[in-house]
Amino acid sequence: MPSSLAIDSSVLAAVDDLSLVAKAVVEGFFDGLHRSPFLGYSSEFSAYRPYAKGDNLRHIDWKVWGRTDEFYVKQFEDDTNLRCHILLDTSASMDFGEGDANKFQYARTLAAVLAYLMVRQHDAPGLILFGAESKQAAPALAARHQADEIFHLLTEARAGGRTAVGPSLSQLVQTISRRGLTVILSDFFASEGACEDLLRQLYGQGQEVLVFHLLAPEELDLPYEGDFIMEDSETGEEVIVHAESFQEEYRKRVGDFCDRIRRACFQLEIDYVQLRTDARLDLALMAYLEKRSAF
Amino acid sequence: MFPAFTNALLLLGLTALSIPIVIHLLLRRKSRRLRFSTIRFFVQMDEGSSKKRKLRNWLLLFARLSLFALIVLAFARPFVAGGSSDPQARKPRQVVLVVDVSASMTATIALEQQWDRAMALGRRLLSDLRPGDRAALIRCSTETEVVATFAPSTTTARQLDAMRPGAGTGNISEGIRKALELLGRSDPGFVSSIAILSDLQRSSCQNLAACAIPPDVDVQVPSSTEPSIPNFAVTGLRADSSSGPGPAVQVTGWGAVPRPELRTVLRVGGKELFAATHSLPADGTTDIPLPMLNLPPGWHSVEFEALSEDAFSIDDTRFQAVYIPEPTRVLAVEPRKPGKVFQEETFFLVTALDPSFGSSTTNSSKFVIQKVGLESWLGTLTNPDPALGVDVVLLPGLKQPLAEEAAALISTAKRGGRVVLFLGDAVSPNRYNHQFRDLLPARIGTLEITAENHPNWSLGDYDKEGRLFEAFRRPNSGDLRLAQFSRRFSLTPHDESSVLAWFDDGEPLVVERKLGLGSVLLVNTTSDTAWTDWPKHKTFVPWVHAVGSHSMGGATGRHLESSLSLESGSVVDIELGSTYKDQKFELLRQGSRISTLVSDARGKVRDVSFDSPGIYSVRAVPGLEVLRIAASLPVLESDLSSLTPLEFQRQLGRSTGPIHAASARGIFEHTGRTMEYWRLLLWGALILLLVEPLVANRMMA
Repeated sequence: MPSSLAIDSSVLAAVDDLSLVAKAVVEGFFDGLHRSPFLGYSSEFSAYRPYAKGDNLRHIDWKVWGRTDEFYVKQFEDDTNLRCHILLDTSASMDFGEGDANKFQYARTLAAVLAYLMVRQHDAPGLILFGAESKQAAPALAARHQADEIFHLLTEARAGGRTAVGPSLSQLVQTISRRGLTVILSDFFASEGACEDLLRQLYGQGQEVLVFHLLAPEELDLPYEGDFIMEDSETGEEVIVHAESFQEEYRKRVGDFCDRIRRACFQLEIDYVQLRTDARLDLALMAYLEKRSAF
Repeated sequence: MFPAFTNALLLLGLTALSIPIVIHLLLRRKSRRLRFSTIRFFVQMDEGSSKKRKLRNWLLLFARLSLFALIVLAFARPFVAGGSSDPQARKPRQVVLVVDVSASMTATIALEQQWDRAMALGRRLLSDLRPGDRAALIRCSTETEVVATFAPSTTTARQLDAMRPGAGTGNISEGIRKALELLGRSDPGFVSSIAILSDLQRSSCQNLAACAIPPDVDVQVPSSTEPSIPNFAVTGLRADSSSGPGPAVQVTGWGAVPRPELRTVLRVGGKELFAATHSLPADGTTDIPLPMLNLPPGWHSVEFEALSEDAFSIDDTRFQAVYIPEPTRVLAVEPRKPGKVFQEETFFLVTALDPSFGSSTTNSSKFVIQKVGLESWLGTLTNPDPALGVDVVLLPGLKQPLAEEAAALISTAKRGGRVVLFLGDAVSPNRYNHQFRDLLPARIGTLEITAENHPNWSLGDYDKEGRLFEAFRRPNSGDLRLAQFSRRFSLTPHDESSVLAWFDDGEPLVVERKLGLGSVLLVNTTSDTAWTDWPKHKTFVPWVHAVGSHSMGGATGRHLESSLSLESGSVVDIELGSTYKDQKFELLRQGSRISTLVSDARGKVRDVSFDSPGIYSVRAVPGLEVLRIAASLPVLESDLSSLTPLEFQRQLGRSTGPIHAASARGIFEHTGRTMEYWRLLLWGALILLLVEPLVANRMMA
């Protein structure tokens, strides 16, 4: 694993032309590209309405009163910031895959790309790492240095331990009080049902969730020949596998597993994207952004 | 009961069992360690597949070990026996005696007959057999047959004693072939052998190379004959002089000393007609001419004997049956009364039928000719005495034909006779057409004469299938087209008539009309050379003989007019013709009844056996002799030169395969009191050989 993380400029250049339009309209403090369903008092005029009791007197358009002798209040349609939490799986199972196709490496790169993109769009990215233990590495913050902060945290992050999708992660998720976007980067090799519970919780909190299901080519195809003693990267358990004779059954089982995650996402109206780590990062990201831009 | 092994040393081959183990260890796959993200997808199912794979591994190893073990054990030939470990010593024996019963076995050497020697050897062979052994018997002559299938030696010995030599030719190779068939169908638990009881005569030992003796069949040739025995034999007899050269006899010698005074006797009907002494060389055939036999009509038995007093007497006599047919009675009507015989109109016809007519009292011709003038021919023809009857009437052209003449001629034809009408300058077409209207095959028209400077007519075409021109079917039998005709009548054949020959312009030359049992022939020319030069050509005589022979046997002949000459020992079918269909006959030899014969719907008598030389007579049950048959010894049997046992063994063909095919034996081999298992083991190895790739391929997949 490299000691420092640098984002490929070609990747960012490719992403630059795309617009990430949040499906949900969230509250925001700062100017941005995301259109809010709530009319505010920012810079862009929207309409006049008759004054009502309780309205701030500062918002009365006195020029209109002078011409019409009626009190009208100016309304503005304002672009708000998107609070975006990136949940990165740092369990030991993520540290699998040969070379550039290593899942953890791939996931860190993708997280950095998303964070940089959000900062450039004046959104507020945050980072939550969940592995053996869960921690909020960087709270969502709309600041220019936020991307650097996240880059640093990602550089320091290490994969290890079991995938703990449990109470600690649940508590962290509960702290996300404002509506926003949550991006999950994981292989979902957790205990059965835990991932579905996490997705359900995020959905319940009104979060727009985007799931990147990361899988290495070896995990999808099992391209081995001969007998292997397979050691579980998280538990250390071992099993003897005759690769050729088991390939067909293995692919079926992996397919079933992916279908289970996909079905859970579909039921919660969550976008699910399966990413194969030997695919180019920018191509995968563009495919996703194009899909999002349709909203 | 533990099995013993015939080749116990081969059990050392079991050390080869280490080979599959080594292969198994070498090919065993080593597991590599791999850290994988999660093993959740492997756990349940591959535990099962791993167990199955291990089981298959063990099965594969077991199959390979068993395969090697079975092959080694099979080569070691395990058997379960009561005591001895030598299975061959326990095998009972079976012997097929091939007994040569050909005529040559009656030859005598040093006062002992070949047959007696062979019988003594056969009895000794049978007496050498132990209890549990068995023997079969094959009779080997012109026809080879199995006399007795496998039986205890005492039973076979009785059947051997009952056998007698025949008069046929030997065929040892056929006997061996039948012996191999017997052995091939027999119980494989016996040691098989074939014993040849024969004089090993060379003519009997043909095609030995085709016998294909299997390696597990022993051929014993207990012969003690001389390689060559001198012999004289009468090898040919031709007493009938009716066709071909004159009567003669052939006497042949094989390795004999010259005989300056060999006495010979010719007998006809059992009576000695001719005896002479001849000087004969040691080797080769000598032709001895016989006197012309003037035999009366009917069957005659002729035998010629050379009193050689050699080792083989049965071939000193040869037989022939001769049939002399009744002569055809021909009435030649001569209209002229010239001073010289050659000026007669019927001269060429009569001379063609009997060249010695009028110049000799003996008649060697098949025709008895009566030449009569115009004034008396009608009386002769109508004579009621059957002994003076007429078969054929030759009638040149008449000047004044009469109605009563026509009636007599019609009567003759209807009784089966033949009337041959010639034409000539004296013939009046009107009178002939009127008086002979019921006799003529064609209406006679006008006289035609060839013009000056115009070529004569010649014979154009003729009935090639009919008997009248039968003699001209053979090559070089003469050219009928050479004859020239200067005059003729135009003829209009009646509907019921048939034209048998035409002139070259299509005008009828010979027309035939059937009347009753006989026929009338109208020849559109003269009987002499007035209108034609045909009598001067060589085709004339055979044609006139055909005309005269045409009616022979038509009404009265009930017997076959040819005899048969056969080889003794043969079995033949006899064609008696449709006249004798579905009838019973007696076969007699020298007056003694031999058997009853029955002809089938086509008049054929099947499978008539002629066991010994002599004259045979086939008689219908009422007593009429239908056929006489001469059976003489086959000439080949007279050559007594023989093979030595060593030569015989060398000439025998050999095969590589055993007498019993493996499939016929089953998976066990019973050899007396032992049972061998090597086939079972090889079958097991074969099955494992098929199973092993299946298991191995399954594992690789």
